[in-house]
Amino acid sequence: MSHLIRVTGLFLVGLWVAGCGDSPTAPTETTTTTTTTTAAATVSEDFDGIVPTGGSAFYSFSFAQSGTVALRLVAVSGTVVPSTVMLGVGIGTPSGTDCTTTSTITTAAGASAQLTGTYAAGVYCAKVFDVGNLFGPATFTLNIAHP
Amino acid sequence: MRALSFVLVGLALATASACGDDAQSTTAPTTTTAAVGTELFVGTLSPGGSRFYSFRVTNAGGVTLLLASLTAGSTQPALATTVQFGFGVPQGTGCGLTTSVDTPPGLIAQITNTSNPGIYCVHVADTGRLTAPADFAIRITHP
Repeated sequence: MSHLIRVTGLFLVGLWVAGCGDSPTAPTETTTTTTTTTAAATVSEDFDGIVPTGGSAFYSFSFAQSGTVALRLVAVSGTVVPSTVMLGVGIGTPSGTDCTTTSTITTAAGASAQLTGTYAAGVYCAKVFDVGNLFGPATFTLNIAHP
Repeated sequence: MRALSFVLVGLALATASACGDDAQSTTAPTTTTAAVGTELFVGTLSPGGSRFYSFRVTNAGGVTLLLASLTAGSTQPALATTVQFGFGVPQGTGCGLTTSVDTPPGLIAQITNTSNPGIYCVHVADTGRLTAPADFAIRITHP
């Protein structure tokens, strides 16, 4: 019986000795602080164009730092187009022969930005389009502010 | 009893050999090959006009642009007219060119470029030689 105890003890010691050498290390708490810098819109571009009835027009722009983009439909005019007409305004990325929008709004021209958002650095496009209100071509000015 | 001793020692050794460093295990190398996409831009180029087409490069790699054909109409013979053919980044209402050549259509890519991921454009414009609208076909190959 005592021999069995000795053998069992030897076995347990053997297990302890043969145990994995890589003893677990106490977890280290690492706190990572991610700071995202959002640049202000410091560049201003004016897109002057014409939207035909049922059509659209777009303008491409790019910036190298993530930040705020603001689109303002400044003015709309035309022979049969009231200045208060509602047009579609959108932002997206150029694709093929068009601008694929990811965010749009229907708005009249105004004194403050109608569409704003925060975007990563890259190439984007602003699009102005008829939402069904035009009976003739609309001449417009769209201001694009971006980093 | 002796048999039990052998069994226990054997278990201990088995346990010991099961533990250890994994450094000797090998991981098969991973080869990443950028997928190549082909897009076709067909349209009509007016005398004095220009057209452009935007596309997205998702992986760094080679972009090839081929002005494959230029015809006066679908039933007309091919034109050998030289036009401006370019590559760049969409800018304003057009394509901001970084590379351009004056070339007739051909069978070999007229422009090749190594590009990082991003949005780019191909551009074709009349250089004053067209007297009537011409249909064109451009093949864009990119990663």
